[in-house]
Amino acid sequence: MLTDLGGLIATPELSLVPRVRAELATAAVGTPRRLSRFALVAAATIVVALIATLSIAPARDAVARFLGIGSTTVEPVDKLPPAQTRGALPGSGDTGRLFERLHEAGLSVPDAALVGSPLSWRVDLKGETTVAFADVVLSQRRGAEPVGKLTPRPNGAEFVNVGNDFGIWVPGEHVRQVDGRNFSSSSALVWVHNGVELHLEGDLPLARMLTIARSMHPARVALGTTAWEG
Amino acid sequence: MEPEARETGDGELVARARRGDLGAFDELVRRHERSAIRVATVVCGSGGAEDATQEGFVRAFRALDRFDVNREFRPWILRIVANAAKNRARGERRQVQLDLRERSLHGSTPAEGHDAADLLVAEEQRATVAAALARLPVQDRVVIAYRWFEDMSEREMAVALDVRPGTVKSRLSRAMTRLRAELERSEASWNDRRPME
Repeated sequence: MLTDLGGLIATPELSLVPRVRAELATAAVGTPRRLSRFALVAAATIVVALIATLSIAPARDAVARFLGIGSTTVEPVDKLPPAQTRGALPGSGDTGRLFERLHEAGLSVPDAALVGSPLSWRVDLKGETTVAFADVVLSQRRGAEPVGKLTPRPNGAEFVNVGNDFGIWVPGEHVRQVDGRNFSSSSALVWVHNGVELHLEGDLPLARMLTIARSMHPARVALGTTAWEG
Repeated sequence: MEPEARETGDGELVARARRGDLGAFDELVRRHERSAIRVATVVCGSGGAEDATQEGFVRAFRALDRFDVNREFRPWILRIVANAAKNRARGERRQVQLDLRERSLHGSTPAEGHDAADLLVAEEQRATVAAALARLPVQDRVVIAYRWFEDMSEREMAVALDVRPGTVKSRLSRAMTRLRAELERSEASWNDRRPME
């Protein structure tokens, strides 16, 4: 009787995975106090339905097809198409001038202590500005061409929190499609902040990428320091 | 994200979660949430079980660096969830209510030799046992849930209760004695209410 009773106790049918994940992601922002249940539910509204559905095949592919953020969409495929490697970025040398231009455009940079100095860059203040560091490549997009990210099954994208913004983590090797061309890409973190879509690409684990992403600050701050020199 | 194949042990998932792999922790939640919610329900009732379980898993995530990956994850997480549920139950100060799923008699096929009336009786008996269980002190409810609902071994229960294995036997024995007493009270109360024949 008692064993039978255990199976009959009424418990909720829905998985708690999305709620736990939402609370962990919210707490990672650095909010010291626990959010009220209402605030958690409100904050996780966008995330819950999609994450829950992503956990349930075969709906996963249908939803993941529409998984996206900003102008970037993520789509799982059975086989990655052929892709070229990203070409070398033309700019190099005068990082001071680089930061002046980023500052004029209202763009951001990560903490120099985490990524080192910029090695090369391409500045297109009306489209996509890309800066390459030793371990990561940061692109900031404003009004640029849509980007498609093709990911190989079973690897899938997932929602994450970057500060107070929602982002998407695309783990592992995948293909970045821009303007009809395919480029190979390593893991990528994509998020939108103050109207700018940011892509951080690199062969680093999520925890490290999030640390770098959360260190982003306006370029005008970097202009005032010597951290980037040398 | 693809659910992990069962051959990935909990210990490995914990190790990966420690390195920032939230997907690995998602899988741990998936594997253990049913048990955790059942235990939380037994401790604080159906109303607060979801919140208590969520809180328990979040606490567990924050305490992952203190978990020994060579030990079993299930009793550890159930202990954390039970504690979260106990805190909630203390705050509410209401008698716990254990709701049972409704078993539709239309879908049930009576076993050979039994009929629908027998099913009804069985339903009543279950409700009586659930009500008696709900009247027990929380520590008794927890130990009965571990043993009978989650089929935990004495060793697992010792970890989940944070006591020596020998103490598990005595706690279980005491809980079952109290449950029997509650059931006898229920029967006596039922007999008192029956019309004189």
